[in-house]
Amino acid sequence: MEQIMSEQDIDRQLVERARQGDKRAFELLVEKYQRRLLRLLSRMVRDPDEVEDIAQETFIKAYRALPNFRGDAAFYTWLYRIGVNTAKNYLASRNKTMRTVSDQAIDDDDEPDERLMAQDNNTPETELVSKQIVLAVNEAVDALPEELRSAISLREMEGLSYEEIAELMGCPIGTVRSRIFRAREAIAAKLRPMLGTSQDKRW
Amino acid sequence: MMKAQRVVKFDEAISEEWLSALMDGEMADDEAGSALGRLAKDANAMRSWVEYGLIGDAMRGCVHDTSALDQRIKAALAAEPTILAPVARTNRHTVYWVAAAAAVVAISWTVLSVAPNKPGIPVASNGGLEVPQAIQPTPAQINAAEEVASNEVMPYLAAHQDYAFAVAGEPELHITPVSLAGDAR
Repeated sequence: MEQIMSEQDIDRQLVERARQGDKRAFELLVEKYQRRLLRLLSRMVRDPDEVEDIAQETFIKAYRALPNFRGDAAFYTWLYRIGVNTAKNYLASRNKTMRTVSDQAIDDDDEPDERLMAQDNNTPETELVSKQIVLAVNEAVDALPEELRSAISLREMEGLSYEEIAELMGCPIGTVRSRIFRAREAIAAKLRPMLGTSQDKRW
Repeated sequence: MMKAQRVVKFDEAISEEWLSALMDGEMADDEAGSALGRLAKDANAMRSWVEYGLIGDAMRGCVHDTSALDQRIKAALAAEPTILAPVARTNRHTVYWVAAAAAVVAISWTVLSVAPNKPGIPVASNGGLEVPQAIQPTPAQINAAEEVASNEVMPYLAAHQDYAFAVAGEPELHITPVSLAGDAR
């Protein structure tokens, strides 16, 4: 009986390839987790430039520490731990407190609303485009046929496996696999013009 | 549901469907490795990897412009020395090594205990100090040790004389029943 390779197993495979000298494999992990890492760090550090500095340092630290990664924990758990520690050290070195942007927005009298709006650490320009991206994805999802919309939503929003989705939708696993792929391609087709107009911007 | 039904076969997948399954961790073990290798070399697949990741993050409300950061990280990675770490061993291998080491220690201890005064065999010395009375074995302990020596150690040594000879370095192995409690016998 064959075994499938879980998402964490895929990450471990990429780590192992990076440990054997394949930097491209590590770049795939960067592509996969950089947005989630930025969101995590944004809750700890207010300045967007500082957040990016810490994110970069986190990934480089993780790369250097790959030989010590034992695989006991998931890669992203290990990466997030490095990120949090890097942010803590950064804040300590700057003699800053671990206050969230929300805390500052509530405590400070000047322009509280603006601070709250800036919580996601995007500049006004990137904030606008980010919202456009989210809006375009949501519209593309809404426009999907029901069976594709359900399949991609159960996967991306609920994190269900193909097997679980197949049981819920009452169809073979191969059909689930096909529906999720077709949903992604349909959404990507709507996004590509937008990503193209943003030149080489990555999201 | 049979687990085999969950497996995504490469030759069944159309176009980039394999990449979608790979991203979701829904590909067979034996094919995921080659798929990862293909991904790292295929620019179109790499673009789809980025797009699929973006779609998932956008659906979860997590979108950031990472273009500048992406370039910075790649430049920093390029400047890093390439890692060439030893291939990771599984825990199963570790267990085997620990078990083997424990077996060697146990056998060595047994051989040295049975023939403590043979030439060439190092024997621990107490440096002329009196052995404290508190650690002297009781008659019951002595009897139990003798029973172990006669019932378990002797048959074991009889079956492993070749190994014992190699350790002791003697032309012949003379097995002498002794107590595990030493001189107190």
